[in-house]
Amino acid sequence: MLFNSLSFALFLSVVFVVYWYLTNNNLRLQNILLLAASYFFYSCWDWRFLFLLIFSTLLDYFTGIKMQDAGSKISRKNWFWLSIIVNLGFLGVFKYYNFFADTFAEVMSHAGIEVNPFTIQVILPVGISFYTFHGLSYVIDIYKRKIIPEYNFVDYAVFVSFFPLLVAGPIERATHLLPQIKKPRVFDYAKAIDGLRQILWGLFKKVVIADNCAVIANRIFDLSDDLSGSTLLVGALFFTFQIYCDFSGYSDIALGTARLFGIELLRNFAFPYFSRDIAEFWRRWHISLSSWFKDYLYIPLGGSKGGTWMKIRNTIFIFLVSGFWHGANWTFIAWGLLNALYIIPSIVLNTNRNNMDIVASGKYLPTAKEALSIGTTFILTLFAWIFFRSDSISSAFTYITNIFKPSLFTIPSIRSSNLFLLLTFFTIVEWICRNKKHCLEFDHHLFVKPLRITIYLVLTYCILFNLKFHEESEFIYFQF
Amino acid sequence: MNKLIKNTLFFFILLIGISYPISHYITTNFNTENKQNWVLKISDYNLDYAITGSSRVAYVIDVKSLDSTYNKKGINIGTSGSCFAEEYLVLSEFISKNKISTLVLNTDELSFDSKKGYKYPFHDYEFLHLFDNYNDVFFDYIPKWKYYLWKIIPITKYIEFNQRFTIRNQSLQDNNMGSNLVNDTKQYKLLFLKGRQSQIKEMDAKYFFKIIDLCGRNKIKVILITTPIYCTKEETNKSNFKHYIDSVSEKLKVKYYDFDRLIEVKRSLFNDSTHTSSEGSIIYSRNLGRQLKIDGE
Repeated sequence: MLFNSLSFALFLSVVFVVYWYLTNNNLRLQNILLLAASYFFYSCWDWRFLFLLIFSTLLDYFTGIKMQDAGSKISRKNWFWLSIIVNLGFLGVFKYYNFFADTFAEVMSHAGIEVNPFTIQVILPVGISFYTFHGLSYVIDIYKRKIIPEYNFVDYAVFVSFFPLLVAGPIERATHLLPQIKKPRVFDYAKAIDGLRQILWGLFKKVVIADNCAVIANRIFDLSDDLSGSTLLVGALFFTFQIYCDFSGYSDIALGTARLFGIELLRNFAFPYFSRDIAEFWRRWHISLSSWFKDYLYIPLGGSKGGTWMKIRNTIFIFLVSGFWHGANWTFIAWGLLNALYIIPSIVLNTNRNNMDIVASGKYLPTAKEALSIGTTFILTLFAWIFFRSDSISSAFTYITNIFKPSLFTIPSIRSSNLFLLLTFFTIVEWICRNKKHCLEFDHHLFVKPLRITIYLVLTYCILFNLKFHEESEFIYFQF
Repeated sequence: MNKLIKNTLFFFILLIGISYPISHYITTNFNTENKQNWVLKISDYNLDYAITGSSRVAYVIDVKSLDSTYNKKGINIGTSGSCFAEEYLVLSEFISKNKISTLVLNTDELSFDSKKGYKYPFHDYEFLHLFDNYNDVFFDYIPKWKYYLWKIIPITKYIEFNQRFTIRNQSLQDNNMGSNLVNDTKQYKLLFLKGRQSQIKEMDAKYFFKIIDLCGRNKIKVILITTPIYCTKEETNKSNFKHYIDSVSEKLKVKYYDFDRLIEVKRSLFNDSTHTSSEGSIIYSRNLGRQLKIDGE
């Protein structure tokens, strides 16, 4: 059940009405309903993996309690490591086993030894990277005595499997989400309307922009060997917008949906393509994952306390792990490494925390220096996405090399003027809204009701006339 | 909560309200990229004949070759993967804007059992703008709930098939008078229809007779043919179809020509079991024209 499908619209409407009308604001009933709805939602992907989700939830629920009740430090530590090993074990088996087995075979064949490792033919359980990280943060926080365990299983299970964030995040923290799940929730009209607006904007980004960019980007990446440099650049540009609108569109729908149920999720995107340097980009892109790695990996490794070399080592490590988290392919690792290389100069020069504010705040346009910084960061990001999108590192290098052919200065053979216009319009709208949570967060004095309704109608028709009813259009991050 | 529901309902009413002028605009400017659109846009032609059917006409009949031996001027209005209902709709539209004296209609066991023979026998998305004019055809081919939804909120049909049409004007290609011979270089796997028992389905028969009736009302002579199939009579089990078409042609006093008199069943003349190669199409079309001329058709 995809967010951009009629079945999800129907599912959401039913759950919403039952949640607010039939539970009579009874928190226990609301949470039971959310859990049942979440399990139903997940089982629509593949009901067999529901058992894996329930097992993972039970494991962290009990180990959390056992750690709290443990009589000794060793016992506490044992329960902690049991949870970590099992959680990472599942992730390793389902997501990375074949990658390691194949890599091992390849390395051995280079050494002249032929091995045929056993590979498993199993599809990746959707959302496993996300709910495993939920569980891990919960267990680590209990171990570090930042939080106490949740004794109510339903509440804990809702925290792990709340359907808006179950399959592709944002990656929540127990400290942020659990208190909301435990707090009585009453219907708030303004919140619900804002949630609907954010869903609408998210759908627009996914259906109208990302899916249309995908058509051209896929074509160009598939035929990349035979195309001109300018066309390849267009392909990379469209993929840059595709992945942003696809993932941030998903996150907008997730946040909007959660808000309909009175729950605020962590923000995942903050207009990252207006970043002035790569460090700022990573504070604005997939924020929930970046902050997860910062809190649970970077800081425990020593963070930025141990001098420049330690900072560089930790940064490279975090970006490699981040790349690997995305998928079991060397291209993701290369993408991570490239981003680490981008960010290292700012660490050395200690300028990585220079741009903490919103660019050109209170102004219509950026300064020439800001515009140059934004442009440079965007281009660096665009080239990194080529690794992310390519099937192999060699094809990514070939793609980039082919961009810099003399044909870079010719007219692209595959292009779409309409899409260019749409992207220009979209970028302008995002620029205007860069200090807001999402682009449909209106100033009611400026956007009077008839104007707001007109915008909703136009966006709805744009979505309806671009939505694919006879084929599925998955979100890119579902594969992670 | 009630306020939200009230406002949402208001929004949906507005959404549906403005859908009518949008829908009207699309209906007026509807275009697709396929042959159906090409045929539907043709007007003011005065021709001796039109030949219609599925891909077994669109890809098999070469109008130029047929004209050369038939000594007449015609057009190929066959559309790939289509059933009689679609052919009826295309023909109705075509003769409302053009003149023909003869219709050559391909019939075979696939066309009388179209749901089995074709993946999507009635290409509703090619004719969405004609929904109001051909309510009865759509009623027969789409689910009832969808029929009423399309009727009450016309924009829903355009939304469902939003990837299929455009409101840009498609350039009308000459298309060699509708002939589109299959490229010989692409050799398909040969599939024998051996042992396949043909059936006559009521819905297909209904539209077959509607075509005959339409031609009768417009004083258009009908000739039935069966274009070549890569297997001999003995190998295919088309007795049901053969028996049916013979009795129908006799009853309606319509001439029927089976391919087996007109082309040799030889590998080089076929691309696959139901489509001739370009060479096969040219030979078959010439022979068909010659035969029709001899028979005074």
